[in-house]
Amino acid sequence: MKDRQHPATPWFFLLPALVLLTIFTFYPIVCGVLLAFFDYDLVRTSPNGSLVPPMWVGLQNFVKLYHDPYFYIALKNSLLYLVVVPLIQGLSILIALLVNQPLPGIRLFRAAYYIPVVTSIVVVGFAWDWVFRPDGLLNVGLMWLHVISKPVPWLTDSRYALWSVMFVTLWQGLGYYMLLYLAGLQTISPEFEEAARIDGASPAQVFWKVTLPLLKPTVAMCTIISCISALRVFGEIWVLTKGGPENSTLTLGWYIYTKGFMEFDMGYAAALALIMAIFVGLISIINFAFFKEGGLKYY
Amino acid sequence: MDAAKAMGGAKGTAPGRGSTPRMSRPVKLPAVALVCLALLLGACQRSTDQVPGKTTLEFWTVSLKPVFNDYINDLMRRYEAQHPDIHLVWLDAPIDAVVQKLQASIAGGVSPDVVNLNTDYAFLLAQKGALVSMDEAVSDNVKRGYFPGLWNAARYQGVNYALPWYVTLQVTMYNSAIFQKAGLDRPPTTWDEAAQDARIIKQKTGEYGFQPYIKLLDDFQMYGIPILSPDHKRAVFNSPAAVARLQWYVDLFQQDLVPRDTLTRGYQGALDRYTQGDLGMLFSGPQFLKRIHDNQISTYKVTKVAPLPKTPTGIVAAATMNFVVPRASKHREQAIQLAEFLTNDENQLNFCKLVAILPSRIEAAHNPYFTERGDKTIDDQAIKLDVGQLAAAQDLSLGLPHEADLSRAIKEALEGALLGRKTAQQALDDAVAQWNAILGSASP
Repeated sequence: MKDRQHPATPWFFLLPALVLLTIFTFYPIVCGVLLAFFDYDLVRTSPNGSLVPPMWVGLQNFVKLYHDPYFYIALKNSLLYLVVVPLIQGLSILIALLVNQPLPGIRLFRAAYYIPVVTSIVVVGFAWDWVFRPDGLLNVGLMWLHVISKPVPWLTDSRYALWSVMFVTLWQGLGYYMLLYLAGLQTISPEFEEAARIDGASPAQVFWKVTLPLLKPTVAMCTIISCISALRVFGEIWVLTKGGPENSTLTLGWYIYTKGFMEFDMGYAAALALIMAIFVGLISIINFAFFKEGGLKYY
Repeated sequence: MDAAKAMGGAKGTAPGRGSTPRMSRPVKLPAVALVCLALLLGACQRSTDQVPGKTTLEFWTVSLKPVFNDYINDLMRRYEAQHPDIHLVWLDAPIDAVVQKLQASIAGGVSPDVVNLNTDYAFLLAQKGALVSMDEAVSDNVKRGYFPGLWNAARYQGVNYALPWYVTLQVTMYNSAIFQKAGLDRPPTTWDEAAQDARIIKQKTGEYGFQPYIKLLDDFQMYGIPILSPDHKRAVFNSPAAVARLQWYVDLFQQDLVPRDTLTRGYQGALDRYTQGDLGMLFSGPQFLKRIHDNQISTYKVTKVAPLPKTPTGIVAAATMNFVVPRASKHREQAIQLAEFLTNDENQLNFCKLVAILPSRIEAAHNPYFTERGDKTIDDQAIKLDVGQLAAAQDLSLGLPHEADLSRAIKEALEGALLGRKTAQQALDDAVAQWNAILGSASP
């Protein structure tokens, strides 16, 4: 007699993960969305000593947000931060191609590029703060090379601060995406490239016509992850500029943190987070549409 | 291929082919169930172990572990001996973590009983109605024991919400080698002299004279410049005197007499530069002398101390650490008693003997440990100078509604003026307009 599987069996296997996801992901998401329609301060206490419960305010948080000039500054800076995405993806692919060569000691290079990824953001912040200081490594080096005549205020001038912080994101994220692209490159069968070369394709043609299209699913995944990370950026801002100078590095992630955890205005922070989530969703949809064709489907 | 394999090219292990010994089926299920149960119980258990028959009081401090473990453990031991019905639980964390954890604890109905906070955070919680009024909870006798300027540190809308604990006041630390090189024979006695010295130091040595940690509102108060109208409904800090005060910083900044990263690194930048021997003066609490000693002995050896440059009012800005009692505490009376114990003369004095801080209690400050202290070391001299300033010390935190928005407006004014985007007058006019809009919306 054939051993038939009970229909509920897969659910039992899924149950532990589902329970954890429900508690730690779905439930907070639902609460977070609902919170955006409440006025909620975690510690607000009534005269009789009891905590003031969340109060339904409808769309009031969104109206406030609509009139909040800092929201637009944060949104603009967060969208500007997306500039880092094509740069990081392009450079990561380039490095992945380089470290995918069978050269002696190549593992050392792969590890070296990955070190920033596993370095704590606090350590990264201190290191780059030192690099960007008026008397830091970068200014001293550029002055020594006569590229600049006086120190550039990388983190203290609103014209440069966001770009400087973005550079740190680029530096830190490069190794992570390089690794994903390396894994992607190694899934591409060498036969495709060999066939192209036999047909007389130049190295550039092999890359643009064969390697890159086959790598497109990895590019799509990395671009989406990278866009989400760029929109949510927080750590670099926290350790390097705290949103300044002149709000030039005020991003949505940082603004949400200040509203929620420094001013305790949880309802407004949730409304901001919801708007950010909508932007993340929109950008992900655009990415999915853009990268729809790729991999073996390309042929 | 997975990423790990791509990284090292290591051979993967096929699923189910690990070297872990196999468990037999009858053992496996109960073992898994037990582990799950243990994890669940561990997660549910609160860190505050309850002791049967005793009231557990939880108190939180800021960044004292592990250096002051012995001091706090001794306090706890003595308090529990004096109060056999009380069991104390101590939690220590950095200030940001304390504030976030406190929010979560209050919201979760498991508030701690006594919490160490700086004055700004005490105000923030007081504005939410989350703290017990110390005016009502503490006897007049106890109140009189604190320096008046410090007792009123966390006074919000007429009510004090904190018991002041330890205090730090700044002194002038100066690098005598840089001063000598610049041809200066004494430290500045006024802030205008400090600016003049900074100019001479820059010209003669190439180093910066000092790096200010700019707190405009504190400055205005120390210079007797009104911030608000008498009825506290309008901002008035765009007066000629206030503009002149901001212009003083703008001049320093634009003439490159203070470092460019003054805006972002403030005090930390000053401390780093001074420690490295790249700054003429550091205006700081004596507790940082130890850090300079430990990190750069050569700078410590040429450091001398002097009183802080004078301001017209003679007010000395104090950074106060306080104890507050959340209204969500289930044991408010006992919590107040504990806060009084933690901040009493004896315990504050013992604490001051361990680190270069000052007590907020008058009797502790008049102890021979301070009054008969020698001046052999610069640490002794700094403490002696500081104790002399205690009576004039005031915590200058304002404690206004919507403090975060008001601070943001001031920060923008400062940045706009220093970076040359606005004149000092424009910057303060804009900040005043923002304050009036915020204060207007906060009015009933």
